[in-house]
Amino acid sequence: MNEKNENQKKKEFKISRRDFLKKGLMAGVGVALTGSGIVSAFDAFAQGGEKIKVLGPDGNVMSVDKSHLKEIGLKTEEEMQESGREGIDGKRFVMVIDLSKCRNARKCMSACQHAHQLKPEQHHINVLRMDRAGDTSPFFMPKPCQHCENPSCTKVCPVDATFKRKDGIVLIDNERCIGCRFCIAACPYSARIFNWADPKDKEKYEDVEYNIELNVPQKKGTVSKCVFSANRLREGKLPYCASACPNGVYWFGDANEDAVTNGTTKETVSFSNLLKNNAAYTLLPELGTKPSVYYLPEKDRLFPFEYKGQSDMEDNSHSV
Amino acid sequence: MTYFNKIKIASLVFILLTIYSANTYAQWNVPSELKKAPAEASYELVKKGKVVYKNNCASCHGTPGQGDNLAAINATDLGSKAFQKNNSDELVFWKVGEGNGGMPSFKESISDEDKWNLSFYIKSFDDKFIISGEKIKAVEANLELTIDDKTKTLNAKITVNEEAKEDVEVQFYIKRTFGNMLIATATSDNNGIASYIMTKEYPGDKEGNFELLVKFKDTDSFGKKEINKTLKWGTELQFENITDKRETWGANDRVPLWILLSYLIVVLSVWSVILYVVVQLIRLKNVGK
Repeated sequence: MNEKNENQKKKEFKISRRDFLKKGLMAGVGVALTGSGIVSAFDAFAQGGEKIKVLGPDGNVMSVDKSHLKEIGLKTEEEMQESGREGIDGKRFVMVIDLSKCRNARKCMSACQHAHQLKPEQHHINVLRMDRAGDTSPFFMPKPCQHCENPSCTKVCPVDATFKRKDGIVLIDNERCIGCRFCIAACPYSARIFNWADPKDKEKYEDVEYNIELNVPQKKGTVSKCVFSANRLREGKLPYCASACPNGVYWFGDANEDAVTNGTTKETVSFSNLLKNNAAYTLLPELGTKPSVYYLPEKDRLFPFEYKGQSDMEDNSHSV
Repeated sequence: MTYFNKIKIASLVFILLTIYSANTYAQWNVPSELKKAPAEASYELVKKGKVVYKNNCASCHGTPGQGDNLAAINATDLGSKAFQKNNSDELVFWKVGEGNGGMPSFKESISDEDKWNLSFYIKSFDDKFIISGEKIKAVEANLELTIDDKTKTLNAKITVNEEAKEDVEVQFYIKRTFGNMLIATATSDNNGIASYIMTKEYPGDKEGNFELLVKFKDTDSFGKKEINKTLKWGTELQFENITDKRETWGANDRVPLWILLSYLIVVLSVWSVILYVVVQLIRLKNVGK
């Protein structure tokens, strides 16, 4: 019994030691990658040698087994976590969805699913079929997370996994999430999804560092949601959905700058004028959630409503 | 050309058309009679058509001949030889109006006149397409910007070979995170000066700076000269950090102070009572010794 315990202890010690080495190594490689000019690593690569020289954390040159080398992004997971919680200074991101332009092309959905490692039935953004009343015309409505200024989801989280950033984006940390799904129940817009099963291409993403601004790799048993493509915004690019739309549905921008840019035409206009001139509204304003996603009404539509060859809501199946 | 040859060519074109359309599109049901263009194609109309193209088509079809079309949604490169060979200007006009599959119909959203100009522009990538008039030659115009901070006036002077150029449209943009926002278009007077007085206030950064961009509207005719300038004319950004607000149900570090205080008072008082009892018990024990 005692022996067994000791063995186990040894094992544990080994693992933690290996982890420690791995982290130290990664830091070393990180420094080496940034200051690659100093490193003679590539010589070793050329010779196909097993050992490789990298610049250590203290500026000393160290020899490392090649098989231990692992490519990491410019940022480590800790750095991504930190900047991801913080947000982008001085920004306040908003989206305007023009319902008169949407014709259910669903390019936004596929671009989003591709970026966030989602299966076809999982939606960070979904295009819904809507009808206001029986005698009105049905229309299509893309629905991402509303990124409320006063979100109800973040307040019910018992472990502070989901949170609001200063630039207006609501994110979730899948490493912290315990899968209680309180946030799913609290969200009045049904914007969140739960990873009931293993995510798509699980093996492919096994070694990928978790990026809090992308929700990738997805984790079974945790909640995932639209992140306004926070990683793209950091590079000054429009979100995946907005860039993929062929019909000019999405306007995205910074409310502090009072400017939004169309994802299709790349035209930039005044955010406040766009809202004022087009009778913009938000979803469920009576709840006081103050969404960052605005909708322009479905008037003067360019395309007639058509779904599975029908021009009405007869087909009530929820198939995607 | 003999009658036989004509049939040969016609059938070849027909076969090519069917193969091409079967591979790339859902079938276009082209009517046998197509509308004829009301006017001859000219370089002036082609130029107008280019604007229509940029606004409505470029997002999917890209720049014709550059291959930057969105192949993923089956948008064709309209400058490609295969497309030009099989599509006359009449057919392009018809297709733009009808739409097919992923391509929306522009019957109502683009006027017929613009649609003709558009099809002339698209066909201008075909060497065999006849365009009347003289080709518009680009001149390298020079652009100079003088700024009056007091009256918030921007004067752009346009010169061609050091001579003032009249009737040139200049656009003023403000640079934003995801693109340049057009704020005004001004036309140059007989002194070659296009001026714009900024009456509206635009938000700037924390110091009230924003970046101005000035360029020609018609870059084809006057060249791509641009001027970038940082101006301190914007309103200073008053950034309210929404995560700093204390609110009920907020996370630990953002809980309202009165809740935090009353909680601490309750906890401390309970513990001090417990501590008091324990101390008394110990003292009691010592007294009994």
